[in-house]
Amino acid sequence: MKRLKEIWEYREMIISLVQRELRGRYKGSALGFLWTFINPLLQLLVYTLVFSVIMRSGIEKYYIFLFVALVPWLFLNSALIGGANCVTLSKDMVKKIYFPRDVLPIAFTTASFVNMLLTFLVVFAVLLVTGYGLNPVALLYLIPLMAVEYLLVLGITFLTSALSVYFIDLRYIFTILAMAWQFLTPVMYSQDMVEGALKNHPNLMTIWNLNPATPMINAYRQILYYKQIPDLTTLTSALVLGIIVFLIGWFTFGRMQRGFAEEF
Amino acid sequence: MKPENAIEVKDLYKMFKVYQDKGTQLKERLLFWRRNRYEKRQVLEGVSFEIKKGETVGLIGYNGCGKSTTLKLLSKIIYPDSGNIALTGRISCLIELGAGFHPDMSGRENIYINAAIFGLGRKEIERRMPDIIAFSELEPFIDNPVRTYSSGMYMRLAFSVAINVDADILLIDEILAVGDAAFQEKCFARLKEIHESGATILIVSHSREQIEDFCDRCIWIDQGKIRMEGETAKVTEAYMGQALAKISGKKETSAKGEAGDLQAITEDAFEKIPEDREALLARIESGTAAYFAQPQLDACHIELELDEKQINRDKLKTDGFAFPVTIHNLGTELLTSRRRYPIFLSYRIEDAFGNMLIDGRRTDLNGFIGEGESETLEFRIDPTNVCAEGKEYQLTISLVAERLFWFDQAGQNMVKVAL
Repeated sequence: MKRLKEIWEYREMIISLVQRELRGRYKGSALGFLWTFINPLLQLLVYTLVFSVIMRSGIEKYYIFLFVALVPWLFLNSALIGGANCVTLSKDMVKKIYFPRDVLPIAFTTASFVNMLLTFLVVFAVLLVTGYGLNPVALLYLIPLMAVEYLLVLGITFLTSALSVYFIDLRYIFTILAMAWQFLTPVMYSQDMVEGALKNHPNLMTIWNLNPATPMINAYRQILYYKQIPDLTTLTSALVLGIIVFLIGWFTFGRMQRGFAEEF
Repeated sequence: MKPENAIEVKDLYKMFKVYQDKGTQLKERLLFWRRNRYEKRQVLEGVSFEIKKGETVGLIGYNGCGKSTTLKLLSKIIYPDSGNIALTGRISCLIELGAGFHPDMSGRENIYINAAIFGLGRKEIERRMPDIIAFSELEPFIDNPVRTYSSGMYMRLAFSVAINVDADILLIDEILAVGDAAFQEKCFARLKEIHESGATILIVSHSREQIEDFCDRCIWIDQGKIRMEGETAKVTEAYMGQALAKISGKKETSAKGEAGDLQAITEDAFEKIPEDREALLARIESGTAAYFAQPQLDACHIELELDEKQINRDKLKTDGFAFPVTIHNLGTELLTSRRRYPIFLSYRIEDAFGNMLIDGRRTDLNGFIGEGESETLEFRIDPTNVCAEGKEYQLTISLVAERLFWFDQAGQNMVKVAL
């Protein structure tokens, strides 16, 4: 409780760090902030080209199928790639001044989250412009879903950023881990394909479903690609897994942050 | 915690790991999970003290005795291995100024971020912004990126933020060397104001003057323990006495080396009771007393002999820039003969803008130079690498006495030379 209160007292620092992160990202480039929108658009273009012209998959409108899952995935990915460094990069501050260390992963995750929200503007625009359409009722479910994803990503960032202070090599391992995780999550393929393949292995299927990213990505896809209200089971398992990961991250970080200043 | 206290520290222990082999650390971490080679260094061993609200307390001690560690523990940058720390109120740390400054952002934006790091809210920052800018005297540059600031401007900005956050407790570590003399004066005045407004201040400083000027009370930390605590003058005197004994290399012979046993003989004592001179000298010799006094550099003067102000460049390349310096009347009998205070000649060459190009010191002074006597040292400096041909430079030679806490300069001699 005390920790939460202190983080709240330092909200101004979080806000200014988020602003710095967002503004600093494309600083010096000619198009500046516009890159936030151009980048995903170009990505989408590449996917469309590859998957509807060269590598035709059996899934209809594969580029949309992929895109609506890839955007939330990239947010999750940021916890492993950039998030792992968020404490180490601020070591001068950590070494020299006091502030609740939680501020750093929170600011990083929030900046990535805002970035995802902005990318979602592109997603919506694409869905409308291509005539694919949106289901307004299902869209309402995006709000709690994003909140849960924020919690999950924050939890992972807490973990990765704290651990990589002590074990520098971990950041390279995280890069590999991020790739492996992406392939083990139904981002590029559908959950049905896995269920089909693991039909005779219920135990493996249970393990598969323990991946906290799986229900999350499935729910995004249900809302945006299938234009349906997501299943209750998918939503609850996303929530439960998200909270568990968050708590693990929260307490690990709380314990490990005491030694940060001495480690640098 | 007692209500009258602002800081309470009880039985603080802190150990650091000093890695012997930093180079292979990464590899070792991978190969031998928990078998890193490091030495444990106990920095604090059971430090306890209390500081009342509104008090100004100085922390003194040798380098590495644990002063700065204590301050870092108080500011929660690091945590103790055991022991309790209790603080009440908002804390402002003037430990490392300017940490968290972003070079690409303007002075104003950096004030914003820095104040946020001190835990201030948006409204509070906006309210204080004019004060902070006015104090820093950086108004015309405040919207320029901080990377364009000089290091002095940088420190001024940082100091202005730290000192304007209305803290209840101020922790200060050796930072009063900010900017020029006028700005320093202003900082001191502001600190006094803060002190008078009832804030608690804890200062770590090597400047005896600052400590004596500011602090009601003083804590002397020695090898991780509190050696002495009390009235500033008494503690600093005992500290100096011990420091001198350490420099002279004599063991504190009397009863188990307690601080109080070593008599610190001041200049006054020496002057007032001339009949005791011999006895005192004997005690100094035996190491049961230490003499500390201002080296009398006032009477001495140095002479710089440069026959030609225009120096031949070719000759410079082969022979260097050579000139003799003569010192007269270095009447510091006790000091130089016993080498308690090192005395040396410092030299420096500056360009027209006051940038230091060459500096150095000569420590081979030949002991005592009595009244009317003099000694000549031959100087040889090679300025060809840093000085442009034909430009005018300023050469400064001065006699410096190194005291415990500061340097004393005398007989400064400045000459303009074209190299």
